[in-house]
Amino acid sequence: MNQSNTRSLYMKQVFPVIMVYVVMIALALVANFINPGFLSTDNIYSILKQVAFLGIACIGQTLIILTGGIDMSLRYVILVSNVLAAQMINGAEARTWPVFLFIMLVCVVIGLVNGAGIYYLKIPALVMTLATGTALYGITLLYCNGSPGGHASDTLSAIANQKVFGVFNGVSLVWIVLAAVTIILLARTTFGRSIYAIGTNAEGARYAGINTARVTLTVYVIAAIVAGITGFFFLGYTQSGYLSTASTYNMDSIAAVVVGGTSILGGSGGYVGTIAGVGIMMILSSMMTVLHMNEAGKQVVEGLLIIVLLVVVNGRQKKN
Amino acid sequence: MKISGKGGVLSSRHNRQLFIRRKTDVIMVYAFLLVMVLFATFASGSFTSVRNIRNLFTANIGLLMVTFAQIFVIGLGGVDLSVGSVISLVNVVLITLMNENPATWVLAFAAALAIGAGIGLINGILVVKGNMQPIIATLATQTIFAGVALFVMENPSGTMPSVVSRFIIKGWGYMFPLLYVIVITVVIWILLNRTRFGRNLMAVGGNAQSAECSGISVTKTTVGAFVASGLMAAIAAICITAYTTSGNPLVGETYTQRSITVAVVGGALLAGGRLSVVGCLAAVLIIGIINNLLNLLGMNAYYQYVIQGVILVAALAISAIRSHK
Repeated sequence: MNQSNTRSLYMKQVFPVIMVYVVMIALALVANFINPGFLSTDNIYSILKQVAFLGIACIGQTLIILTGGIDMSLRYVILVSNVLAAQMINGAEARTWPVFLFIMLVCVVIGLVNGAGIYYLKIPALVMTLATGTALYGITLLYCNGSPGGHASDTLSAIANQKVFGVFNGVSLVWIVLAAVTIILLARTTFGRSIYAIGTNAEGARYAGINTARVTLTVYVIAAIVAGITGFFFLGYTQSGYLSTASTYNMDSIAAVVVGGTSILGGSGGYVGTIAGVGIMMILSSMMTVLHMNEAGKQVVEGLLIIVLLVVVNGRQKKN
Repeated sequence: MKISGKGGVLSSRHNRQLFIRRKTDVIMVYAFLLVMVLFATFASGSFTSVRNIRNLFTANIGLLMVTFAQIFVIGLGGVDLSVGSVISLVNVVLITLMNENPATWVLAFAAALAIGAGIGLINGILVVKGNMQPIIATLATQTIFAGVALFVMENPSGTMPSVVSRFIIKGWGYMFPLLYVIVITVVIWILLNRTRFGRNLMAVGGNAQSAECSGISVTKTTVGAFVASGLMAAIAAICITAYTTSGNPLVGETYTQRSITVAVVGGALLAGGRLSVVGCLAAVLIIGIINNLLNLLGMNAYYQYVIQGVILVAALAISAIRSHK
């Protein structure tokens, strides 16, 4: 590959990401102009506190979309984890971490089911995750008989609500660690490269000697695990389990990933862009709250924003 | 190519075998439906009562119509996530506009169809001109029009004039709903199987590039499919509103997922280029009978979600294993 080629490839991959960050910073400045104090440490703390959940959940969505799939079971895995945690912990300090391990185990099984259906049975990811999601919703309803009980333990509340280093809480620190791991995983490991290869051309990746079965299954297991982590820590934030937990997360996560420059067709993009995508969604939502905009207005603006960002910022990413 | 040699030509043995092979998915859906019906009949004495059959029918008209909306876009190889929002928006607009004056009914129905077609047009333009994947374009419009629906009506309120709702759901001793369901099904079937638009749609869904090369306007076909989808979603909204009789800005939310489920169980290929109107009929009934039976047997309604998920995976797994051989 000659140098100009390398440069154009670099521009094609990096430019959209830079643009997303420019948009995010511009939005933050506008927000600060409208509402001085938006960039105060208190406000950044409260934004980070909320954004961390979507950020963690988006790790799985990013990886899955990179392989050319999509995760519609995300919100239900979060729900399962949230309800399980609330009912099983029920305020008992000692049960917090054993329950966490149990939930992780459940998530591994969910991820394996998703991955196996998609890889071995060749079921399109959209339908497979829709099916497991629907089934998980039913199982959750049966488990808690329609209304979840129980509540968070003190540790869990502290992780979600205690300030660390001024602007962070426990959950946002977890997010930072997981984000760093994800970025390194995607950019610097064989596993990461394999994900891109599968997203670009699954058949080709297999012929190139990549163990596509293992990579696909691992991606879905990781996605279920991070969704499980999201739901578990969400309990600390909400204190008790709710059936409406994360009900908008399927759409929000897909929007954040795509706004962040990852192609819905798979094979290009990455988690660095997703972080900015998540940031944009959250800044906008928080800005509209400050402006006392109602739910109706918020949704309209959010939808328009997705269109504008995709057409204007990523418009150059023509399909091949 | 998938579209060649469709039905009708059963002159030779080869063609007949080809026909059966192509229709195996649909035949299997009907076989499964038959098993379900037999099971339901034995499991519950009241399943076959006239009253229950009527309930089963009227409760699922809306879902069938939304599925018809969904299959246009699935035929293209995409999914339409905005159908739920179209239903919610049309629902609140209908309730807001309609009162006892029949002139408002005409206005409301015209507005409903215009909203459906308009949102379909916007989706189509975003996909064609905005170079977006259908799932992303409709994700954005879904969010926007869910917001607009909440803007029109913030909390559930109002009712449809009972003359109208009763006529749409029970008119002429249930003959009116039966009539329009049959008419719409036949029209959709003809549109997709016997017209140039339908063939173009399948060709674009099968392979957009080769469709373009063989002189089909991918742009026109795509926009047409989205407009048809939006119109059908508006019709679905009218049926659903007549059934629930009340205004609710969130009424459409669950229909997006359910319509995808029904279309896929009914034999539609998510990759595009293949779908079955006849299969949708059976799939709607299968989903409907599950809920109906849980209700009749006094079982926990939450089982419906688990069973739906299992059936969806089973249907796809069987079809995948078969096509793999």
